[in-house]
Amino acid sequence: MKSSAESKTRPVITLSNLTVTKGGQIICQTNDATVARGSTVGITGPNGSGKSTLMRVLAGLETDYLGSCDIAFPLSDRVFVHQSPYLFDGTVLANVEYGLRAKAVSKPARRQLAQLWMKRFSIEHLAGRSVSSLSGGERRRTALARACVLEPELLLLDEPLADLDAAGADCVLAALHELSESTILISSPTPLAKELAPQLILLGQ
Amino acid sequence: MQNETSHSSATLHGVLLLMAFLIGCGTQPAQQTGSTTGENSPTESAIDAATGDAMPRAQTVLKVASTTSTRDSGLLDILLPEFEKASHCRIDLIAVGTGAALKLGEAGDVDAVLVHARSAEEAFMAAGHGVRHEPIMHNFFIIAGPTNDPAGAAGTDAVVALRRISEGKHRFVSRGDDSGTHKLEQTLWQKLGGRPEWDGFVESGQGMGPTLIMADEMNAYVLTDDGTWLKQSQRFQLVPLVSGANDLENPYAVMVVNPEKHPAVNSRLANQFADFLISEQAQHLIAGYEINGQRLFHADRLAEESSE
Amino acid sequence: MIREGFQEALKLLLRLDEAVIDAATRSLWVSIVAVVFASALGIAIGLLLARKSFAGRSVIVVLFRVGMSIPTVLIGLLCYGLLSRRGALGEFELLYTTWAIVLGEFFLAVPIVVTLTHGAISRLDRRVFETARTLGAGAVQRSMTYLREARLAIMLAVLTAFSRCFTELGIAMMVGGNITGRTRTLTTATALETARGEFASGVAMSLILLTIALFVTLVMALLSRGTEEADL
Repeated sequence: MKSSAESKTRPVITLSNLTVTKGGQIICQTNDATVARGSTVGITGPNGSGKSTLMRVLAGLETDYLGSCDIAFPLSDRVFVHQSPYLFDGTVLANVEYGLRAKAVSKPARRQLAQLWMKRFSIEHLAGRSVSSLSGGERRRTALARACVLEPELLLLDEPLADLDAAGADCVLAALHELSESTILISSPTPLAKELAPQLILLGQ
Repeated sequence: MQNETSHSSATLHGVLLLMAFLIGCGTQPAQQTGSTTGENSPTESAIDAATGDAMPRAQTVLKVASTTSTRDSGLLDILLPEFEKASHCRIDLIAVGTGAALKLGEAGDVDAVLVHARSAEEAFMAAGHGVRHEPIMHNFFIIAGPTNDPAGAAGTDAVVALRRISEGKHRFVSRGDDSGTHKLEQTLWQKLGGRPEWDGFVESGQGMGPTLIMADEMNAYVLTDDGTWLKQSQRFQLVPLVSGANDLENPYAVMVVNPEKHPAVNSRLANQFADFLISEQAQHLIAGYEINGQRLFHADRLAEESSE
Repeated sequence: MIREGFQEALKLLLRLDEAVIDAATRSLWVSIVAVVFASALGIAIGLLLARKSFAGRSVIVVLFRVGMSIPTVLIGLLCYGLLSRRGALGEFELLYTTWAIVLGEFFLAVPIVVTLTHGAISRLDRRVFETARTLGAGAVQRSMTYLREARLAIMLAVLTAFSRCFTELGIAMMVGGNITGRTRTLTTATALETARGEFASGVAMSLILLTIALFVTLVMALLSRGTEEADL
């Protein structure tokens, strides 16, 4: 097995001529790219350039592609958040705790973790609220909290800043900053700030 | 899921539909009041004279209500086609429970009624629902039961058998449906001074066929007309125990529905039907009808042959 | 006749006619028990068919769909064959008991619950499945989630199955036997009244049956109102 120093620098994602076609049309095409462990990468391109498709491929939801896409993490270590996230019927808290229930986390620990991350996303006051009564921004932050609380190895966020105002966006970016160990990929229509996403994968015709 | 309407909306629709249906039905004219609208015989007899070109429906279909056990005996399969040929008509046989058959006659939904419930028939005639009552044939009831006959009913007469069955608390399946069979059973109980209650007494509320099946499954005693019995007995493990007794006679009669109460009734054809049933030809057919080599019915209008 | 039926029904209810109460309770009991068992099995099968891929799956889905159209008389006949003294289960002497009706109605209800549950879960937004998966939920947790997300449609499936069972005649008649005080249901009682020519009485029984069915539907509507409507 590699030494920890090496595994630190070994790329965890390697893309090579990845092409996805649907119905004869190329809907996503990338150049070669690698992603290092623990880094935050932005995926940008105009609408229709295949950002979501790439995210889905990285998440393992799309398997029909040409070229290669090597990911060092098994599916169980990847968490993907949809561009339009689906919240399960129930409360915000129940949603945020959802993934924790699958791990053998004790109830009090679960509760604590959930509250920590809800605080980071500024939704701790919404814990008992039903998801049907949330605004777009609140839904987004709930979905993000639900994913981040799991502190996954690979976090894939499809346009996470959509329907967030400046304050909301700042909140999200600050929260993501807390995930120092995770490799994070963020897709967005416009390039994110260099400090957040030093690396960029550009998609476009 | 798009547009999953809530249950209360579906309920509301259901209630509205039901109400619409009921209101629609409620506006039908009541049938029982017997209001005669003057329409009648002159028109009919004019058409009679023309013999069947105009209004072919009314001329060539005879609706007869009878019971399921009469139909199940198989006799009508022989008898009715003969009449159909002779009169160039079609008979629509509606086989239902005794009570329902009489009700159909009362409502004028049929032209003739052929049942075997003498007391109910007398009430029918007394109420003026029928204009003609002709006894045609009779058969007998038997009491069938388990092969080992725990009540010792074999060879006795009906009343004694029932007494032994009830006193011994053996299983007995009754029709319980006001049919001719059931009414006869009730008469027999009356002779005993009333029917005692016991656990083994079961009322099936069904026709003779299903009742026999039930009795067979339960290994119980049962009162049945010998027509249904002979037709079906091979399937059963029950055996006939009491038969040929006087108080087990089952008389059949045909009644012509009163056309004055219901002008649409085809009384001409119904009367022809009654004539046919008491005619020598039909009576011979009835007398000759056999199941498994056993004669089933005694024709009322033939000179009685040597009794068996 | 319907008018008379209404009057008759009111009279029967007001004087709490024993026979009617007996038949009504029995109809309710039998249908509820049958549907409870059928739902336990049917929901599980429906979920499985919706989520698990295997060879011949579409054939089985079609078979269950067709199963919704089996006439009750046929089910009654088949159960009779099973339960009769000469049948495979004859030794248990279940024929002409309420359990026989429960068995038949169970077979009647299962295809309905399976088909409608399968439909409900198949039609869930694909994001439900993807989200549950990506968050790491195990098979049991995911199943519970799918059932919960589709619960309105599944409740409707159960109600549909109940309605079918509550109003059927063929099974109750054939394997129940319409025995007074033992296996008489509202439907078989109606059939008897009709055979006896007591049409108004028959209508009355059926109206009572409809009223109970309406009541059950309302209860289910209230229950579903209590749970949130899923976002469209």
